[in-house]
Amino acid sequence: MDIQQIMQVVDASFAARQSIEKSLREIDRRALNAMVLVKRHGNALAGYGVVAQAFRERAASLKESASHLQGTIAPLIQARMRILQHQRVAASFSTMAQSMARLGLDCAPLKNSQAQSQKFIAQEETEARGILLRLIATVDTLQEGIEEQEYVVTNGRIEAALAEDTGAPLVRVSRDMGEAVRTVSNAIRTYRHQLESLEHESSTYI
Amino acid sequence: MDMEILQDYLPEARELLEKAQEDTLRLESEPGNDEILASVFRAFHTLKGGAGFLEADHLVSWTHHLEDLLDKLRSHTLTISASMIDAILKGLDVIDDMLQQLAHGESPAAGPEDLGNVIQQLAAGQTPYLQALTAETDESGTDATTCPSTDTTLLASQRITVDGHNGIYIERADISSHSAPGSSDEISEAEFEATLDALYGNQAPGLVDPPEQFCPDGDKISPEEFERVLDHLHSSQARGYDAQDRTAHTQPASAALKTDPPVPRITRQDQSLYAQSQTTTPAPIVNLSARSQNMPEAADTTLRVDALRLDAVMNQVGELVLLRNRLASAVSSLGEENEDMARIAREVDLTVNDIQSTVMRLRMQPCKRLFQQLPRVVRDASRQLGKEVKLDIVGEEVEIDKTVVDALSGPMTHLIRNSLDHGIEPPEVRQAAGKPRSATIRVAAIHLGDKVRIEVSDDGRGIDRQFVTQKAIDKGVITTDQAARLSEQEALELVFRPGFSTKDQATDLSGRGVGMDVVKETVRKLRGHLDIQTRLGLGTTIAMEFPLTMAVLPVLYLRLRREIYALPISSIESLLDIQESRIHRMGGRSVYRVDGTQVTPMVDLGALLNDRPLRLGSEPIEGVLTERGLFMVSEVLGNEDSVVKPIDFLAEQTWYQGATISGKGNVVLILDPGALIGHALEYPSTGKMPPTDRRGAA
Repeated sequence: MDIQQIMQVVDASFAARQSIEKSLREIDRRALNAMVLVKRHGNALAGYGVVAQAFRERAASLKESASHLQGTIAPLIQARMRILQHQRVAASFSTMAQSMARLGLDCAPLKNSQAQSQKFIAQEETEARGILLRLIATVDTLQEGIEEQEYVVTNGRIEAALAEDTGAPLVRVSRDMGEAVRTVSNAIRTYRHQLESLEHESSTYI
Repeated sequence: MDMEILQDYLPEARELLEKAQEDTLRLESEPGNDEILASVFRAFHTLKGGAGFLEADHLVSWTHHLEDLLDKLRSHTLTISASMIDAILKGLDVIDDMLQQLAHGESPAAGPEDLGNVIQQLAAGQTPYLQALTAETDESGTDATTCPSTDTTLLASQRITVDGHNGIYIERADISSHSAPGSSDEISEAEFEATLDALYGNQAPGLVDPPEQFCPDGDKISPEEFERVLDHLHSSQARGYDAQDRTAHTQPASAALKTDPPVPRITRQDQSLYAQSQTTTPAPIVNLSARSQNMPEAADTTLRVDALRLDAVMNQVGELVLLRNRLASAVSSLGEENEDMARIAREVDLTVNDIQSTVMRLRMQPCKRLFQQLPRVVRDASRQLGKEVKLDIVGEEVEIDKTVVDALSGPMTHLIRNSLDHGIEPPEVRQAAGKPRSATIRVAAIHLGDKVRIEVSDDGRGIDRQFVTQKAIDKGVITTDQAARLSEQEALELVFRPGFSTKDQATDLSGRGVGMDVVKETVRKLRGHLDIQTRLGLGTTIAMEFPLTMAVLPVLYLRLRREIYALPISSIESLLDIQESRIHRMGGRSVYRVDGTQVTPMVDLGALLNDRPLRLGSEPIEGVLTERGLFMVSEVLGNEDSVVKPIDFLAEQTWYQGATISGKGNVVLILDPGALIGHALEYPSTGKMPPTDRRGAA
């Protein structure tokens, strides 16, 4: 992975985080709107109130999970930068070793440094992979949260259908909730694809 | 005075009084309805019985006179007339005053003598001098007949009855015809006319209403008259009539009651007997017995509780709600690690909700209590103004917090009188406009989710906005510049401004420019919402919306930079993501285009409360759309059921409805959206209040 690819990952992470946060804010607003609506209708919409509360709690939980994304991205990038650094050093050592070999010289410390660099690279690769896997795990948590949100939205649709005679626009509210969840779900899925491709490209085990 | 009996008596007496007034008004349209007559009679009878226990002699005496009149009406000895209805209604007002004196721990003073005389004369079948009634109503003077009793006497004779026994026959005879000197068997036309005049005054039959309407049983001898003749014939030896009874019947009722032994010694069953001894007919005793039999049944299902105790319970529940909020907040901060605590917190939440809802229902009262005074108001005011009005009442069964019912009584009366005075046209004007002569005032209570909407509407002339604006300028309520900026709705709402009136001269019904202001203030204090809609020539509707309960206020917490505020959820329509492209300037004001159809005033709470506008794009901003405008805030945090604590140290007019304690234990100010929007509209250029006029800003 070169610096260009690293920058692409940084951009993708930033965009994904922006998109997820925006969508989560939207989800939170939808949930609050639903709760306001429920409160304004008294006890008649108490069932939907439970759904709206759950929707909001899940949204808060997603927000919490999403906040960990940024914390994971930075060490990943740092690890990647270190790998690049070691790869360059290793490449220099390799060039030097080849030059010396052409002159019939053999430098043991150079070989040692070369081996050390490779070792560092391998360590950093392992660490970067670990960070990447943790990042993917965070995204997995987000996706699980989204699946739960979708489940809550489905419950909301059922409650909305049951409370149709109250005249409250719950069906519209549920639809809006569903759309907000879909938006964040799409953002997370896209981000995950990017991370998986990164994992695929950068894997030293392929 | 036995205070325990008084505590029981007063609420029951007020209920009886309200029922009696309602029934009396019904009597006006259904004069032949014996059931209503009996109901009014029973009310007076029960009022009298209770007053006797309290030794409130003047109240006993007063209700006795009314009871006497009703008894005659009930037994068809007399026929109901408009002047009687007036007298009964005025009599009820006097009882109301007496009850208020009782409530203050005073023994009621005697009722007005002239009205008392009128009632007694009416009960005696005589035509009273109606000054007492004409003082406030002008039509009662037409009832000026003279009943035969004033100019006739009873002649007794002993004859053999058809079954062979000795019988006493009582006949009514005209004094004038018997005592007229030089009378002959021939009755001249002049004598006949003189007799008619003597009998009916100047309302001889054929000229005005037939005398039967006023004295239908003029020839009929009442049981009392018969008893008096028997007394005269047999002194006190008349059968079935002992000295004690005689005293009760021959002396004025009040005097008779004073001679009775102290009442509190008597048990409830005895009370019926006591009442029985004072009545001239047995019917109420039967009814009382039936009532007594039903009493245990009623006692099983209802319980009269002091409102103060309910208030205390409500306050305690309020504290419980705050504790519940704190518990929920503390448990949520524990995270998901402690599932048990979370479950307990949820169960506490549900239980507190149930308790809160149950206690809330304890304070709920049907709107009937609020509306029942209105028929009387409409009747009196329409007669005073010479207008024909029909009152439609809808939703009497809708329940609302007791505080609202108590506080709205005055404003409702004012709205009705205002509608009658300003809105409803005189019958001939209505007719000329192609409307029915009789106008309709509709009073409705409608249940809307967590609110109750109370509407007062009429089909009168509506409100002319331009006229209202001009009057407001003339009276110095607003300046010409302010008038130029007013929207149509704002112009209409000028009628709620203090000091505003379309009348130049105040009458006893309206024109002082106070009433509508009081309506607005009362609605504000009850955390309600006031709306006015009008269509010129078609009518006006004034709607008030109140929360179902005053005890708990669901609020939305919001953050304005570092400060937390709360907004009542009842005023919030939705939460929006503010988009710069939707913000516009119009007439020097910021407005927000919510959608294709709705444009609403926009208020930057940062500018208003922090003196520093929020900067869109540079800091997080969210929008809270309320019924009256959009508020810009930093962040919406969440909702909670809060308990409002009044802020006594701030000026009367503030931007805050009160304060509450959040789940995290912080004191949070509850914003008054109506006051904030009103202010923003008043000072559109800066959005800020002048430093000298900051009303309680924190």
